[in-house]
Amino acid sequence: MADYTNSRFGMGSAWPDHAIETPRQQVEPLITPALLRTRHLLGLPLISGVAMPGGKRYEYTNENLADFIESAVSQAEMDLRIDIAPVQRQEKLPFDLSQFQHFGYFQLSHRPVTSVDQLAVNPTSGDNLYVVPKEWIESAYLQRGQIALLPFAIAVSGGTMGTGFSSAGNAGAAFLAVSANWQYIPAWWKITYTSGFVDMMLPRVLNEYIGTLAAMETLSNLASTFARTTSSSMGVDGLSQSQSGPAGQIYLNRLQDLQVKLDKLGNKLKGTFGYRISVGVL
Amino acid sequence: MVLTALPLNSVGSVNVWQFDDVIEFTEGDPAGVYFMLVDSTLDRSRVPAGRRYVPATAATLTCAIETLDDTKKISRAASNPFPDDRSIWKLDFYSTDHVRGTAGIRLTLTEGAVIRTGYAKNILRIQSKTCL
Repeated sequence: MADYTNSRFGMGSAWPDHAIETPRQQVEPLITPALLRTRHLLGLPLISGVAMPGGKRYEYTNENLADFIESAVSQAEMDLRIDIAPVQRQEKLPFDLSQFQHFGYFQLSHRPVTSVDQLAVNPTSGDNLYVVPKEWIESAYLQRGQIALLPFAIAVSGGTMGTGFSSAGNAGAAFLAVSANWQYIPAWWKITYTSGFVDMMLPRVLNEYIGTLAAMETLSNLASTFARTTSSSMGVDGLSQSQSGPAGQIYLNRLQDLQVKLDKLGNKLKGTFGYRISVGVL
Repeated sequence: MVLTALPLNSVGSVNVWQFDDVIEFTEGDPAGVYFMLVDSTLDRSRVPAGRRYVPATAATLTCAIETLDDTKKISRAASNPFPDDRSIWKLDFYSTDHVRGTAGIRLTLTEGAVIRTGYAKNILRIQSKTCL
């Protein structure tokens, strides 16, 4: 497990964005099977359309729904390109002089980031050549995976104005030397950070997304058990009777509604926590 | 054998309880969480799936709440509230515990020289005591 005593945390919470206080509860634990039934499957009897051997129809259990929820969490992480459960990661990023001169701007590849646990210069030997003091790490945009190095606080408190990295000691000398002589060094920085939602306390809207995915999977499975003859007719002499039904398309309208909702929620969530790339041509 | 646990609710005695999906309480509230040890490889068609597993006499069960943060991690022994049914265990949470959110319980069952491990996924749903 992880030690966070020397970590640099983001400003405010991941959700609501940067919030430090609110009177309204806006995060909650992962949706449960019981909540999935009431929020997304209300009034729908989750009973198979075909009878099992023995004549009994299968009724979806809360264990089935819990399994669908688990799958939905994984799918949501892939769809939205965010971490839902907390994960501590290590990532290596290049030394890029132009970015370094812009206060060491880094873009981490997983979001939302809750803490930077260590930022070090770590060449191929695997040993940390230099560990950047956590006080230098600017964490204002951590939720979006952006960090920067602002060494001013230590420079001033050390009584040395202007040369921000001067208090770094001998290892810091190597750090400075590199920054002066090279434009680009691949995999120079090693960043240990934690992404995902702390304690899996999720925004309600993210639970809506997960629940919608799980509900669609449930209804899709269920609909397939109704995929039999859509119409039948019988005629005897002058009398006839016919009937038709939706068969396998029994939940089609509901599934379409859920797909629309999923798309809308997905776009909003990507914009808030993940990546949303817009391309324009002039 | 795959050891896991099913959460129990409304526990009154060895005969009075019911299965639940999750146990819910609020962070910082003292709570006793009851659960039944089961072997999830057996009775898969039963609802809920799994066959009750009764450990040997004098078996001990250690429960660890999975969390990344070392300072929030809880690892403590569960107790056997009903000596007549050693499959039912109780894990206590105290006001000093900082666990919240969705969590699972990592189980370590020691029966003499035999040590079995198991996991009860997402069986705790602990509401935050603040709005964030």
